[in-house]
Amino acid sequence: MSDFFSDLLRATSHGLVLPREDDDAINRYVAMHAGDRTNVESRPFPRQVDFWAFCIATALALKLEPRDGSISRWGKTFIYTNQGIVDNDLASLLAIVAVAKIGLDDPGVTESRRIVELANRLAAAGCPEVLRKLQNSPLRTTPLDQALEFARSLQEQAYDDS
Amino acid sequence: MLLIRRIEIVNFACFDQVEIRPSANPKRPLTVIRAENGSGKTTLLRAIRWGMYGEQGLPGNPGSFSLHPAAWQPDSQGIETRVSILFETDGSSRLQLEGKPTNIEYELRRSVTTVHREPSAKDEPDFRRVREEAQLLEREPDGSWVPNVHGVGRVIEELLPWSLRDFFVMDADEAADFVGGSENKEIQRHEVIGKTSFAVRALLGLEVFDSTAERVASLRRDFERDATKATRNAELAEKQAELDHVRGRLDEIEKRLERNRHERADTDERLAQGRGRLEALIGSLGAHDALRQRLTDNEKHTQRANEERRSAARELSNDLTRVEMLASLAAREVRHVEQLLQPLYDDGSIPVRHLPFVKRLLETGTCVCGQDLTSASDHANHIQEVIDRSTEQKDHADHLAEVLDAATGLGRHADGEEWADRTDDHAKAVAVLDEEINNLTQTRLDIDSKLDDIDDEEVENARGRIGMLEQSLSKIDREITSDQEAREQLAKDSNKLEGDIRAARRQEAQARDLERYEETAAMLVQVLRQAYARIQDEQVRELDAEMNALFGSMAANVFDDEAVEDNQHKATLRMIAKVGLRPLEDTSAEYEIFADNSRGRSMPPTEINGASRRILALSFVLGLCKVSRTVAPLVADSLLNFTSGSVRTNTLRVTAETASQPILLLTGSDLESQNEIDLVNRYAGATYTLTGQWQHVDQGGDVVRLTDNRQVSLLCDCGPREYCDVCERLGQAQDERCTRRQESEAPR
Ligand SMILES: [Zn+2]
Ligand SMILES: [Zn+2]
Repeated sequence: MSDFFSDLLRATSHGLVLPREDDDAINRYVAMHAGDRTNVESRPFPRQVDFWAFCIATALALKLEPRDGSISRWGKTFIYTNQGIVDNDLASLLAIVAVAKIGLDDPGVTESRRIVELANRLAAAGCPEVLRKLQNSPLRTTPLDQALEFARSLQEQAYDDS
Repeated sequence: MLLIRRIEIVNFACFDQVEIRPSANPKRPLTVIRAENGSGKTTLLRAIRWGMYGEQGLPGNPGSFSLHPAAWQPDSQGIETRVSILFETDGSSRLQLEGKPTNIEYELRRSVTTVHREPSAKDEPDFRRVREEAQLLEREPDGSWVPNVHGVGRVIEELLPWSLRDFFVMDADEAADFVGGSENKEIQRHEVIGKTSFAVRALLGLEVFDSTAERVASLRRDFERDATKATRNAELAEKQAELDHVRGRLDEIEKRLERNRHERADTDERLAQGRGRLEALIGSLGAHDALRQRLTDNEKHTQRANEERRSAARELSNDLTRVEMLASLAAREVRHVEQLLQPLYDDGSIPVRHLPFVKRLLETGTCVCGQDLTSASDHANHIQEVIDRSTEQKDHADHLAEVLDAATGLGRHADGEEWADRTDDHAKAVAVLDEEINNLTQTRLDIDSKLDDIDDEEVENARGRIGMLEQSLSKIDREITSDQEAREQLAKDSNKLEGDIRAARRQEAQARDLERYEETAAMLVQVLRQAYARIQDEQVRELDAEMNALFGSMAANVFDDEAVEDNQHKATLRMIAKVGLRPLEDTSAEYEIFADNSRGRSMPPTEINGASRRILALSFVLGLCKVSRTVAPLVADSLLNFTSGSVRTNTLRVTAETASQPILLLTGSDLESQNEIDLVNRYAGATYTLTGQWQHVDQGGDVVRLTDNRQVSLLCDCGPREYCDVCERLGQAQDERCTRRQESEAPR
C-alpha cells in the first residue's frame, strides 16, 4: 500500500464522526480505553473507529442512503489512534467505496476530505441498525456473539445481491 | 397345633364389644383387619396380649394401664373388662396336653373389674382393679365346658410361652429385637443372642434335650454321692467332699466364662462398629491429601483455562475488525469499482505509465517519430503539453490505480467464507474452553464438599474409643484364657477324684448297685448330648436355609428406590446377599442372626436399614415356625411399615403362604396397590375393618357416619375395598373401586 492510504485516516483524524445522539449507546460497546480487552464480550469493539467501520459496512450491505444534512449538526468527533496495517486496509476500502458511490466524473473522488465525509455519512446511516441489533440481544447472548451473528447475516445478504 | 377360633373383647379401653373370628381355612389362612393408625389397632393387640398373659402383657407399671372404657366414670359398682380367646389344639403341641390324640377346644377367659377409689396421692389413679380372674375351660366330648385341671398359667406357658410372645402376637417393631432392635431402639448384642437362642431352643425342642441331659447328669451325681455314702469310708467321704468343692468351683468358672463370652460378644460388636467408623474416616483422611492436591491442580487448570478463554474471546472480538469481513459487506461496491477501473488500467490511463518515457524523449532530444525536439517546435510543444497534463493528473490516476489494486485484492474475500470459517474456529475454541471451565468448577465443588465431610476431631475420638475397647477386650480375653485353663485343670482334678472314688468304691459290694445306676446315667447323658448335638446341627442348618429362602422371596425384585427410608448410610435389601442363623463361636447353645453382603462380610444390625431388619426378623420368625412345624396364630401389627413396592407385596404374600394362621393389622396405605388387594382376595378367609369413631371428626370428617359414642372403636366385616354405614369414609362412595356392603349389620 502506498503512503497515500496510510495517511488518509491520520490526516483527517479530526474529521471522523459518529452520531452525537448515539454517543452513550455506542460507548457501551467499545472498550473503555486502548488496550483494555478484559470485557470483550460485552464491549466487542476495541476502538470507536472499529465500530465506525462496522457501521459503514452495515450501511453498504443494507443499501442505506448516506445520512444527509450538515455533519457538524449531528456528528460528534471521536479520537482516532492509528494501529497500523489493518487501518491501511480500511483506508483502501473507504477509497473503493468513494469511487463506487461518487463516480469517476467527480474529480473530488480521490480527495481525503470527500472520502471521509462519505464514510461519516454512511457510518451515521448504519449506526442505528447496529445499535438496534446489539441492544436487542436475546438472553445469554453476548453483544460480541450478537455482532458476529449480525455480520454473518449481512454477509449473506451482500453476497447474494452482488 | 394351635388355632384361634374366636376372640371376644368386652369393655376393654376403646372397645365396647368386639368379636373376631379369624379364618381357620387352611386354603385361605389369612385374616385381614384393616385399621388406620389411631383407630385402636394397638389397643386390639394389647387386649389379645392381656387375654393371653394378663398384667404381664400390658405396658408400663403394673396396674397403671387403664383397661376400662374411656367413657366410663369410676363408680363403686365398677365395670367388668373381659377378653375371651377360644382356641383349638390337636394335642400334639409342644406340650402333649394330656396326650390326647384328638382336637381339644379351650376357652381362655380373663376378666377384671375396675372400681372407683379415692386417690391417696395426687398422681394416683382414681380407680383400682378387683376380682382379676383367669379361667381355662376345656370342651368335653359331650359339648360341656369344664375347667382344665392344670390351671391357666401352666398351660399358657406351655402353649404360648411369654418369651415366645413375638411368635404369636407380634408387633413387628418389637420383633426386630431379634436383629438388634428397631431403628429407634438399640439393644445389646448379648440380649439379642439370648432372645434368639431361647426362641430357637424352645421352638426346635432343643431345650427339652438340654434340660433332660441336665437332669440325668444331676441324677448321676446323686447316685455317685449315695454310692460313696454307702461305703461308709471316711477317706472316700473326704474325697467326695473335695470333688463337690471342685465341681462347685467349676460351676463358678462356667458362669464367669459365659458372662465373659457375652461381654466379649458385646465388646466385639462395638469394636467392629468403631473400626468400621474409623476405616471410613481414615479412608477419607488418606483421600484428604489427594483431594488437596487435586484442588491445587484444579485451581491451576482453571486459571489457565480462563486465560486461554480470554485470549480466545479477544480473537473473536478482533474478527469484528477484520477488513475481509468489511469488504464482504461491501462486496457490491468492490466489484463495481473493479469493473469501472479495470478498463482504465488496461488502456494505460491509470496509473500514468508513459510519463517517464515521454520525459526521457525530451531529455534525449529526439522523438520516437525521429523529429528533433531540442528546439522549440509544435511537436516539442505538444510533447511538453502531454508531460504537463500527465503530471497534473498523476496523483489522481495513481490513486485510482491503487484503488483498483485494493479492489482486486479485497474482491477475493467477497464471499466472506474464509472469514466465517475462521470465526467459527474461534467461537468453537471459546465454547470448548467454556465447557472445560464448567467441568473444572463442578469438580472443584465436588472436592470442596468431600473436604468438608472429613472431620479430624472425629478421627481422634474414634481412635480413642477403639483403643479403650481393645484394652477391655484383651482383659476379657485374658480372663477367659485363664478361666479355660482353670477349667481344664479342675476338670482333670475332678476326673482324677472321680476315678479315685470309683476305684476305692469298687471294693465295697454295697455300692455296686448304685454305681451301675451311675454308669447308666453317665451313658445316657452322653447319648443325650450326642443326639442333642446332631439334632441341633441339622435343625439349625435347616432353619438357616429356610430363613435365607424366605428372606430371598421377600426381597425379590427389589429396587433400592423402593425403600421408603432415605438413609444413605444403611444397607438396603439389595445389598444383603445371604442371611441365616449361626451358632456363636465356642458355644453350642447360642445363636445369632446374621446378614452378609455380597463380599461375604457380615453386617452388624446398625448398618442395616429398618425395612431390611424387619424382613430379616420376619424371615426368622416364619422360618422358625416352619422348621419347628409350629402351627400357631401370628397376630401381627405394623408388619408392612417401612416397606413399599415389591417388598411390601412379597412380604404380605410370604406371610400369607408361610404362617399357619396369620392375623394381620394393616393400614389403608398398606393396602393401596392392586397387588396387595389381589393377595388379600386370594388368601384372606376373613376380613374386618376397625374404625375409631373419634377420628378426623374435627378435620371435616373422614368418617362419614358416626355413632353417638365417639370414644369407641367399631369393627365391621368390610374388606379392603368395601365400606358400610360404620366405616364409610369421605370419597369412598365416589371411588368406583369401592363397593358398599348391602346388609348393614349392627356394629359388633
Ligand atoms: Zn513524435
Ligand atoms: Zn364397614
